[in-house]
Amino acid sequence: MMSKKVISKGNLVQNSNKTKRKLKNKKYQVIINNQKVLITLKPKQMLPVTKQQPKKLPISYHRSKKILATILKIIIISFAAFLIYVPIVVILFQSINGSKNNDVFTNFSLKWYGGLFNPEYFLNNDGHLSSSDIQAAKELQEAIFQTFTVTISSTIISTILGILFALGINALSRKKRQKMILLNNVPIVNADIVTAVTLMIIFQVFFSIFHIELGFISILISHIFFSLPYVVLSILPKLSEIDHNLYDAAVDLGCSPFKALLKVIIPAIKSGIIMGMLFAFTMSIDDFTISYFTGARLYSNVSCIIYLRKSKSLSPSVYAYNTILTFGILLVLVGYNIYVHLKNQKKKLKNNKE
Amino acid sequence: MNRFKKMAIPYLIWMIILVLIPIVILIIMSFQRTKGIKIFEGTFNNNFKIIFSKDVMQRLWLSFIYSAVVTVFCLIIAYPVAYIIARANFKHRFLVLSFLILPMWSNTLLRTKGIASLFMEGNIFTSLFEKIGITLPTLNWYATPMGVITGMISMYLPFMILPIYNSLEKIDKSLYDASDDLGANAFKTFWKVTFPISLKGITTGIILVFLPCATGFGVAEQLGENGLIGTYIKTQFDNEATYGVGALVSLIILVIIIGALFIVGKVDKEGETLL
Amino acid sequence: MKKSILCFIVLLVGVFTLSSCGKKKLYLLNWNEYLNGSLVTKFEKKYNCKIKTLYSESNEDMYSVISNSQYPVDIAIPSDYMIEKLYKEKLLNKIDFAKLSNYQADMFDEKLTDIRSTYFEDNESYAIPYFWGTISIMYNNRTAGIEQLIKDHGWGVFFDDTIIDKNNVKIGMYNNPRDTVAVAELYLGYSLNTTRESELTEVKNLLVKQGKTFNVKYAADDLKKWVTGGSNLDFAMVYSGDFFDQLYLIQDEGLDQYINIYVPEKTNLYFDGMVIPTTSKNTDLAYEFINFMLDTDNIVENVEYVGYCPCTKASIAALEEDEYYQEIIKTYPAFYPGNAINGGELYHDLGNDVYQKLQEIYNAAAAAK
Repeated sequence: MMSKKVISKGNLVQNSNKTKRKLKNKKYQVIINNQKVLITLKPKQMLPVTKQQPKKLPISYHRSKKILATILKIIIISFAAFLIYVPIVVILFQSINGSKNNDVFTNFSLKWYGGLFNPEYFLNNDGHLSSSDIQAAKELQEAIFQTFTVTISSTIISTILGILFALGINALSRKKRQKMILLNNVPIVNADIVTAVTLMIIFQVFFSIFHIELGFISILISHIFFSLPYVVLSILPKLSEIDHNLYDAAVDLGCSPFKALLKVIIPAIKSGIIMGMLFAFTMSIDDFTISYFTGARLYSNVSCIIYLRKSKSLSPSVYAYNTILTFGILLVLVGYNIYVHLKNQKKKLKNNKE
Repeated sequence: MNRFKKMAIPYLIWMIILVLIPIVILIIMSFQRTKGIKIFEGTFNNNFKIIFSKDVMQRLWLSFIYSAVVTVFCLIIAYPVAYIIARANFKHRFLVLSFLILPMWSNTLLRTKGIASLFMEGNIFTSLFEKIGITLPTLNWYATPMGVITGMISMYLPFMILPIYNSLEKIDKSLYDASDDLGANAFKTFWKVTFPISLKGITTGIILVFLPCATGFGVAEQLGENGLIGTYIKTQFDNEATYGVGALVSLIILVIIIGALFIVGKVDKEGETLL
Repeated sequence: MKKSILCFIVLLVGVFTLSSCGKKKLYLLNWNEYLNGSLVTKFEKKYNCKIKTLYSESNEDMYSVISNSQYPVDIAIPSDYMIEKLYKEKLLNKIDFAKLSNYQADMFDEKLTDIRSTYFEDNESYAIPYFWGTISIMYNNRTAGIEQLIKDHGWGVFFDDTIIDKNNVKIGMYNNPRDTVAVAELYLGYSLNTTRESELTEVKNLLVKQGKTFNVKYAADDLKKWVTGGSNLDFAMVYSGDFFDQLYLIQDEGLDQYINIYVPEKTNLYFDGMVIPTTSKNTDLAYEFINFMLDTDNIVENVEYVGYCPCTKASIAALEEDEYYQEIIKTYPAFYPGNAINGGELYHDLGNDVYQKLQEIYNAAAAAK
């Protein structure tokens, strides 16, 4: 009887992880049986039934089938990985190529990596290179700096704005909310080029009124514009899971509204915020079309200089940059996985001790 | 929490300024031969005549065919991959997945440039292998449909794998057991249980792959294909006399997309499909 | 947490504003690979400023950048017909020669002065020539017999499938309406500035037929690279300087040289000129830049990188003294555009209506397969 009461009061589920897990198992049994009454069967009690079935076949047949399936799986995944990683490998080789001509491999050299940090020093002591190459590398440096300036600032700004807007949308009535979400989805679903054109037009109109040139400001606004919806969309589902009374209770207990927001709501929607931030970052760092139309000539990011500058005026250091970026992120991912793994193991140890 | 209601208003204004007003300007522009954005100085021009010319239609058709083929191939490759990873009893599933979607963070145009260079004679691999005495065959796929499609698949595959994996991962394992218990075979379990649940992920994947393929110009141009609609729009906005034509083509694309959005909105009202 | 984020934003904005208001900036609207980087460094050091280059791929693009006043362009280097258009629409500042110490009225090559005299009145005081060249055919010698065919038939190789094997030959064309149409007009023997409906229709039909019979690729700066690459293109129309740019690159790297250039008798002659658009905010620095680019040493340094023929008498004389360029000028008559002056014709501004027609012709041609 006790457990039933607990489950019917959904808001308490948040507080205890254990109850949540239990509930999940039960919940699915409810769906399968098409019944609304809760059954207290544990999932483990059902498992033996499935395990008994395949025993009729000889073990060797079963094993060979399993090995075959594993091989097939590995082939499929490595085919996809091959398709995805071919360009990355090409870029890797181009980045360690000593020649300026990126289609001919002459010798191993790390000078393009050096050129990323100090073009005058690393690209100077080479007979093949002229000062134009140093100039190109400097322009690349500038573009990288600009890419990260825009990406980081647009990610931060759109995350903060996204939280506020998501709170606003969440508080609306059902119908209004649906309409806002539809509007919110427009930049996501819209083709990049159409977004770019519309933004370019509105910037030209406004900027010609105020005599501002396209550049950092227009690019920043457009990056915020297309990353905001992702942030809003990843926060909204988390917000709808929170108990509305929690915030009011905090305010009633003497919290200032801002503090209540920080202490009650933000922690509850943290995973959504991180997800949104990640989306905003991903969209912004690799954007080409929208930046191209909204002021790329003056404030180019890396994509735009790859598109706008041809062969000689594009420094091969860009390959070094991309390789560093790719493998840097790979390291972060692996590191994060190891961290999570270790954390889980610690937890397990703790649980065992208890 | 109702006091937050006010915060939706600035967002609405922001959206109106950056979405609705430009669309109105686009509509006005599309009937004009403009002088740049100066819509009050433009003169009336029947841009529809240009839009419905064989040339534009051919570009639209080509864009559609290319992106349809790319989407289908991406789906065929991505679904098994996502399915295998999602159902594996492997501990580090997430690591394998992140390995596959990692290139999303490296520069798309540069990767396209890289793969495009492979399709030409005299690329970095042929010169590398020449050093050890092996002559690699030349693909000569540059600017051919084969090369464009292969390049695009390579670029957009991660965008298909991720959403499908997300939707498959959410399925509770006990659901499979239940289906088994109720007497369904493996195929039936897949068709009746797994596939319908993963439909949302597939929709997202199709949106994420099809749209940029059909309307983008950066990737296609790097692969040597200048005949798509994205390039057309771009060139129209290069010349201020043809802003009107560009506006009209953009509007047509917008209408098609809004239609698609409407259908998605009918199926899923909270808009969760997209993420 | 929130405070630190706010601090970070303030820092970012601060860094941005600081970096933007440090040095004076000169906004240069230029083509790709059209200015030697060493000159940029030199100029920046001399005048303690920063050159910010805006890259462009076509004259039409340059025009839209200037006319929309999206960017504060101080100097642009468009070609002849675009200068005329900009002049007509009053988007150019008249150049004050008193501010140019290196300028003399008769410093430019006589043949260039000749053709400029046929141009719009007073064009001398709106544009200072930067480089000049011709539209020519660049080809790859590895395709057997192609050299003879190009020399015999000139522009015919682009269109006539009775002389060219349509299955094995790949052709490159500029992805720019004006130049694409020009090649057809040169072949048909029409004026490059024709506005006659019948002639333009014929041009369109010819280009569409070309697209259908031959393997044609439309591109811009990539053309020269693909011709050099061999299997990608057998021959292409290029601006004469593009060929020399590739030639220097090949000779630098010591690779085998297969490429060559041919200028048919009838061709397009053009010059690019430095202009100061009305969008300019930093006009003094713009004058300094023009003055800097009129210095003979600087011109020669630029030629080494760009590959076009310089416009001033003194710099051509300086090149003729140099052993390497002596050889080049002797082997490749295409280097000096003055050689093509008899059959060369300048583009003129034809107005928006005709331009839109050219754009339609180009679109139809590029879509033909």
